Amino acid sequence: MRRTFSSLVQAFLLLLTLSLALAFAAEAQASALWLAAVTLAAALKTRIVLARYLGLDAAPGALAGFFAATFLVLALVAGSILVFPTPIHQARGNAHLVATTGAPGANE
Amino acid sequence: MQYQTQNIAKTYWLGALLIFAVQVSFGLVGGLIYIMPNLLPVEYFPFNMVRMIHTNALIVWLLLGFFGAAYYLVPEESEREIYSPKLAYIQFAIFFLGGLSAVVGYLFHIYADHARSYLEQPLWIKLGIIVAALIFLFNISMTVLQGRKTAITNVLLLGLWGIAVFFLFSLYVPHNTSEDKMFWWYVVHLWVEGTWELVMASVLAFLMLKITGVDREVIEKWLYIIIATALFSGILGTGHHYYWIGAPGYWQWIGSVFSSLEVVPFFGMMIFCFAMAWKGRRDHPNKAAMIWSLGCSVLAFFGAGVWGFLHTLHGVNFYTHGTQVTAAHGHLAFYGAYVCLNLAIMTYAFPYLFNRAPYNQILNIASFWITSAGVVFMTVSLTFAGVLQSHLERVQGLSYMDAQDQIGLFYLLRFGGGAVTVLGALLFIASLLLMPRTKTAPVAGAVPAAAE
Amino acid sequence: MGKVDRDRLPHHCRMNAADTPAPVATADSDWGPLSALPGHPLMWVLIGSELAVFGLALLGYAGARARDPLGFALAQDNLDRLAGVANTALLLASGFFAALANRAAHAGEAAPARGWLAAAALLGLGFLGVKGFEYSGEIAAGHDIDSSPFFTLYFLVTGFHALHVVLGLIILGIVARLATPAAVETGTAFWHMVDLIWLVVFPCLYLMR
Repeated sequence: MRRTFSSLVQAFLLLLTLSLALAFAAEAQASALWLAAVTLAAALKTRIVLARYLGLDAAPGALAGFFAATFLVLALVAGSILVFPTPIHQARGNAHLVATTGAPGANE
Repeated sequence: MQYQTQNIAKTYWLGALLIFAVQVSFGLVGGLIYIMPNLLPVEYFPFNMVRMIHTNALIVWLLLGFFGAAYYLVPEESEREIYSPKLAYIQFAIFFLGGLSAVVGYLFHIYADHARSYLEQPLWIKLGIIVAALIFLFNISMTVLQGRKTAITNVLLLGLWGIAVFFLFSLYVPHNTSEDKMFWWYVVHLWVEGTWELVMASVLAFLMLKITGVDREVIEKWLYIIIATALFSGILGTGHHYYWIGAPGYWQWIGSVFSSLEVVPFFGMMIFCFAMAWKGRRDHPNKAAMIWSLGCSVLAFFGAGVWGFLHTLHGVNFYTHGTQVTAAHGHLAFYGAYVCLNLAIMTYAFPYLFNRAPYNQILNIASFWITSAGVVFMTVSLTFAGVLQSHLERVQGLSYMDAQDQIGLFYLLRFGGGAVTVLGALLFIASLLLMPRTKTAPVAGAVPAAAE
Repeated sequence: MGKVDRDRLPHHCRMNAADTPAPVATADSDWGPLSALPGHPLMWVLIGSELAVFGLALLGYAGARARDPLGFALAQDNLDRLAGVANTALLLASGFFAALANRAAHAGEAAPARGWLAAAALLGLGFLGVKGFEYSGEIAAGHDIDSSPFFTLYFLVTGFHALHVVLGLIILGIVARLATPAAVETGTAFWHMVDLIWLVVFPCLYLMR
């Protein structure tokens, strides 16, 4: 398993770019596109960490397995948000309430 | 038998078998009370007392079985005699008499009235148990420390020390009911879903090592993976007992997430046993021990793993908490994981202990199928009863007793399964006590030197 | 008694303490599929278990959110996304240093390996600092582990992750003392796992909405 210096630097810079790109987009309006972007960026990052940092590019089977697991979790959480979307209008209507009381709609 | 002191196991296991018979008999009486509550005079057989004997006798004989297993396998693994046979017999006397007098005491309504299942023993018996455990740990640890250390003995010791340490929580009885339950689970859960699993894994590893002859190296690696996943999931898995008992709500998530993974070590043990049986040589004459070992891993996977998972998620448990689903799980889990384990190691060791090397195993093998069929049938009946009960009580809102009336048929079926189980258990005991020789006499002097 | 003698005995006579068949020579007396992975195989069992736990918790989050999307969205708005991004950057840089430590250790350079490990640990401490800052703000605003289903899961998942950061720091300390290739490989594998989990947890809890 050979992890060269340049491959690690490359991995780190790619990871950082993806994270910062998301940070600048973080205030974007919730949408299917946004969810897809977050999911894919996060999945790409997990793949880089698995392959380069954890050195799984030496074990392709394990890389595929672990990546599939993390991707599945990200995709299922994002997918569930698409299936059960936040009712935006209500959210906006309540936004000032949240700001004044600081209490989110708690329900058990 | 390579070491004289392995004979100590004989005493422990005979005591265990006696209490095993008591345990299943009282189980049958309990099952009878469910379907014909007025048949037996209630002043002599109140249900709470019958249940208490059924459950307490179970724990006592399983522990006796574990002690026996330790006295049998530690000399072979450590390659030396037990440190002090005398202490081992003193320990047996204290533990066996303590257990027996607890059971007899229950018949006369002498018990600690804390409403804590399994821990109803009066304080002085609990103290006796602790003294016996200390003697045991001293004796076994000294033997292991002075001898060869193997993964099997290390894991076994870890499990046995854990059993003793967690039992100490039985001495603390908080006044607050919620707290009381939390501490009660420190004993009960951390025993059966923690430390006992370590004992189970190490005894199974010993059996696989001896029966299949697969390399110790391979077996040890399986053992490490199994106990790693058992401890990882089992310790925080305690949270699945904290639903609706007054513990903070976040326990619902901790319990659900971690206990979902408790199925992993049981799955691992099943795959382990079958992989070893497949990989190893298949010419060991003690087929019965192999069947009990494989049966143990399969039934533990279903009873503890699958039936546990059925109602471990808090969303499901909201409906099934404390119904017959729990009873179904309890029966198959205890049987698969710990009863079968004890019967497997006994089946393996008895021919050596009693010098009955070639013996007819048909009775023993038959007892495996009969007992297991009985327990599985009980489990399925109780599962149906529990699902129906959950629906009637928790969805439709019937009162407890009205719901009970509706599920009577399943109690009748359970009693049938119970009767078959008792029959199988008695056959098993008979098979070990009789151990009929096969027709051909053994060749004189055919005592090979110790392998491995 | 040798194998051949034993086999000559009638079958029923072989049942004895020495019945254990001679060990079967198995080619794979190593860790099987785990052998291909860098670091100690048991570390990979742990990594798999951790991923399973966090994965299940996040699926539980998705399930709980589905029952109350509005409540979750309102609660989620209270999180400090920028702090989360900062923490992501800290962990990624820390992971980078840990990877360099591993590289140095494999090259037999113990001192640089220790230096990189120290750098990785320092950024790990930074992560905990930011997390503590976030928690204190949230708690001051009246959110705690019991205040709403969202915050129960948020505190459980991120708190459990933070505990792993603490554990990871201890592990980095231990392997820095040893500084052998095997130890550093295994210790940094744990650290990368903590990193990896954050990369899944952060988008799910902070960004997806």
